[in-house]
Amino acid sequence: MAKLVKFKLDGKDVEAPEGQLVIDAADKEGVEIPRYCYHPGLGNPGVCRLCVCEVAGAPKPQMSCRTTVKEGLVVSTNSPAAKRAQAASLEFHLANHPLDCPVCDRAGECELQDYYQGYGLYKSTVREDKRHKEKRKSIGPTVVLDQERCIQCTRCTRFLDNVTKTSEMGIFGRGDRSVVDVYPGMEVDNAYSGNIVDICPVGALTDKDFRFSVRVWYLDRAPSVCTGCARGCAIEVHTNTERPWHTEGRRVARLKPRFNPEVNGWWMCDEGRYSYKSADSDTRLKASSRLGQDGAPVETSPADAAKGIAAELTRLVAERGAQGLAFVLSGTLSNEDLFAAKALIAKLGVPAANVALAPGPEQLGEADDLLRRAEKVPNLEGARALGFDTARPLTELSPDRFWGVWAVDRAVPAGWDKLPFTVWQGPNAVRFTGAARWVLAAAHCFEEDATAANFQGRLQRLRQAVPPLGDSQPDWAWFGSVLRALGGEFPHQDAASIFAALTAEEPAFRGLAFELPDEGVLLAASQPAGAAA
Amino acid sequence: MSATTTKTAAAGTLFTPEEQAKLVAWTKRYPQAPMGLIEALREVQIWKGEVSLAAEAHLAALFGVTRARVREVVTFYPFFPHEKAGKHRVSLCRNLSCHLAGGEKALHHLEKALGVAEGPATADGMFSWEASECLGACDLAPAFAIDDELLGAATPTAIDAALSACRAGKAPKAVSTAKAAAPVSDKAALTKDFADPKLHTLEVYRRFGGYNAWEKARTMAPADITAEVKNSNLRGLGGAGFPVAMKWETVPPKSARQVPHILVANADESEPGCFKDRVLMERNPHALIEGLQIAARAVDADHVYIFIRGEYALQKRLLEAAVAEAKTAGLLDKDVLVMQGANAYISGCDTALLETMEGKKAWPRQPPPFPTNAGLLNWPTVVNNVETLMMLTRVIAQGGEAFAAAGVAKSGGTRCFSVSGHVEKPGVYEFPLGTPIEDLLAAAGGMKGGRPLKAVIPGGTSTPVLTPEETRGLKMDFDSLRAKGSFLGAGGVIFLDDSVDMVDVLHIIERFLWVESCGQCTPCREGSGWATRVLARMKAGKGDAGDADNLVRLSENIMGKVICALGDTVGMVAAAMIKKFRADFDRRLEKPRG
Repeated sequence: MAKLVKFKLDGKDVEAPEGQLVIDAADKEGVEIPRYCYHPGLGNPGVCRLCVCEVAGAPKPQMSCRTTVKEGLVVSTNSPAAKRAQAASLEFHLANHPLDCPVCDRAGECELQDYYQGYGLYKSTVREDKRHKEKRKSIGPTVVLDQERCIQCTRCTRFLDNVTKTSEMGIFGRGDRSVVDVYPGMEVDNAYSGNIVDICPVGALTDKDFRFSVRVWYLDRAPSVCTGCARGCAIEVHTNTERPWHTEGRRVARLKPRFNPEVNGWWMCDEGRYSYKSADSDTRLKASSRLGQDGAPVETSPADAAKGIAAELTRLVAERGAQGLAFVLSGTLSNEDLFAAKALIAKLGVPAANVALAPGPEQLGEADDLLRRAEKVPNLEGARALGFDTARPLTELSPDRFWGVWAVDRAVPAGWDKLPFTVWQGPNAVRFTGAARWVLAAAHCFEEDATAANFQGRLQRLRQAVPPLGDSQPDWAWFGSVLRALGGEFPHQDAASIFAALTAEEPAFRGLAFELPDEGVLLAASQPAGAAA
Repeated sequence: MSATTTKTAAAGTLFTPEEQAKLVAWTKRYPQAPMGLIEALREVQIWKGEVSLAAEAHLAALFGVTRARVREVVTFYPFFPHEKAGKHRVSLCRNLSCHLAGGEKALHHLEKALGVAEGPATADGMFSWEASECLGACDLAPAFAIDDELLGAATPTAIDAALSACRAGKAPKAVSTAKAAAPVSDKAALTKDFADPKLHTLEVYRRFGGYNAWEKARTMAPADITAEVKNSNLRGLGGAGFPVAMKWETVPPKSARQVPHILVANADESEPGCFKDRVLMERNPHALIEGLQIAARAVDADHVYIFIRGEYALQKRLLEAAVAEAKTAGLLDKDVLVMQGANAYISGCDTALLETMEGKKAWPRQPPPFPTNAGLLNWPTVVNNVETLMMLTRVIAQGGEAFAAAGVAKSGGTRCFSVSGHVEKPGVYEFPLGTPIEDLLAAAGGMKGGRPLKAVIPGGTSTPVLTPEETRGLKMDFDSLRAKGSFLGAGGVIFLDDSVDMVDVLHIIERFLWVESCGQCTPCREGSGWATRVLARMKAGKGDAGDADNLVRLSENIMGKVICALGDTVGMVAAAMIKKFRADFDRRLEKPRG
């Protein structure tokens, strides 16, 4: 850590590490300096010339992304000269910009718009025709390019050169004839393509999945965690509940990465980004059911389901013993869910060896050295910290030994569906769901408050973005209500209350508060396994 | 993540085995393979008339770079046109001095003679043509070249004769076109022996005392060479006028950082109005090689390059021949490699030059770090102008103090002025720094036809214009020009008579800057085109009352807010021109309708 030095920022005495970029130091102080090319994850090429500041003693305006903090530096970002320079730079950015905001998907979160309001507000003197370039060009499965809107900040090309190292795009040509474009015959089809839309400060790169669905000012935002893999990227869940017709009834409109230096930096993968659709997909279970006499499912209220399951369990355990019941749990369960599951399993007296939690084949996938982990579940480390054996695969249990199985959010192979007692619980129907005697509709991860620990053992908070669909309820509520129906103790009504119990009873969670810091915390027993690049 | 696998066409279908061998040789010529990329692409362009996507992919794989980067290079440099070029490429200069000498008429003649518009090749594939933004031959205005062989003034007869020769299968060959600049001053140092037509040979160069300075420097301690240069007050003659010794002294010693040192002669002379390096390298190539040996010893250089603009084909041949001669004669401590650019003005800016040398598009770097600390391949690099390096031979030969005495305080010695525009005898004239501008004009035969002087552009078109009043008794040195709000620059003096309209002049200059702007910084990228379009409208008589003020405002908004000097120039030149010659701009207002 560089030593702290004192300098003056807009007349205020502040402290920052020596050598830090002025723009970063200002961000930390809450002083916003407009910028296009600078991005903390992509460096400071200093080409947009917008983050102008005045430095005492310097003969001309300086770029705050290229000026470093040193003792006694006097910087002004809001002096008349600095503001004039920022407005002047903005005027050049807009000189050839088409100003097609009414039909631009970026409107409302466009930094040209925002900065014009904040730093421009000049009267346009452009009398000349604007340059015409290509509009609406598909450059890959996820992204559309509009070259006229591009201000050539080079963020996208730097991302593809330095982060994914796939270099599908370049800045071709020279001067104001140059264009950002995909290399002829290539597509931006890497596993992280959606990020170039996030980092584009204008409407030059838009997301095929999201564009023209809903205006961004109708969106609500909840900070949460992606549950697509064991990385657990920090995200924002953007929801559209005001105008459901814009997103074809889907409440979740898109996911955006949220900065977490310990986990994902600024990025997330496409697999995670577009996984949000499961929240509103046709496979969502809105109600619970049991199989009727004729083999057809009969809708059941949560209370009746809990009572019915408890009655069957009581009978079967008494007749055939608890060692004949298997639990097929999943790394998709939150710590709160697993805490409740653990209590239920203990109450029933089911041996630990009857619980399979290792990711099934359908929960394993591609990994790389950037973010993606092979285990496509978010909370294996939490399960481990709660004492579950996360290594035991379902294949170690043979259905022949069991009279019943309670499976959560897992595809269960053939053989298990023949047992007299079968519960399937989860948000989205999979193979086996239809064959289960009891089907319990669980809330989706965007519908609950929860915690999960990623592969590093870093505990992060998931926050409810939308309420549970239909009669679905959090997994812990299912375990808890059956536990209560069996005569057990489960006093909790929400996740916060469970978490409080967790911190009291589970050593790994001791001393933690449910309102975790933005970057999360490492669980006590866990060793960091390497933070995000 | 791994880079997307490159699917390359087999070399066999794209290139002959001989061609492939040459391409491979380019990957091995320099410390890192990509440094050879641009010259390899030049070969492909010459062989095939274009660089196809298949060729891009092939070279990307060969040089170990991404295809996007190769394409960025190909689409950035004018040497690689958008359309397939003809077998012979004709370039005719449209910049200021050539324009003043009837360049537009010559362009019309060329277009008619070839029967095609600028860009595409003739039906028989023999020719394509382009209007060039300065060939570095303002003394031969309006200059034209075929396949980078400079052919002199583009009179209708000369154009027709050159085209016929090409049609008859005779490859164009530059004749020695540099008019011998007779030593006009008894203090001439570099040009004093120019009367001898064989000066470019080692034998004649040695007869005039060539390489004596180097032999003396060879026995000196590097620090003593630098001290001598410091005493000489020698300043960079490429435009910036930075004290040479001071630049050298910022190179970190190898005891502090164990990496190779690089020395580059900047022979990318492209500033409109400047052509002295072209003439100097053509007439006296050994002086550059000798100067490089001296400088290399002073800065402890391990690799020595001459980076020469692509259009100077004759000079490149002469330099390579001179290097070979000197090497055979055992005169070189360090080998000298001549490296060709791909016709971008911005490559002449030292940090952009380094990018070009590394095989990238010429986007200037933003110091710090400065090149002397981290330049080519991040190694300490000294970039000096051709004339500056040549002057080192005089500094060592005469001794620093004697050299300094020829000039004025803080600007030692002589320099070679490129004089062009409305003068009787355009050419290179060597004078001590501080010589009154009237002497220059007199040496160049005075104003053409005796017409009155309207304006002077004192250091190449990137320097603010001066009025006749401002030039009266003006001493031509760095500091005197600065005091007048302009620059000595690279010493390209353009005299303009009262027949010119400053709207035309400014339009030509701004169009040049717009064409050559690399596009990196927004104010320059957008501002140069904006100013050019406004000026084009004014030229067409459609100006409105706010245009001139708006141009001044835009100019001031660009200045000081960009990475390199080109952007500053966009603003600086326009502001001076409009302020000083406002009447010309007001005349171009749209007539009230009615």
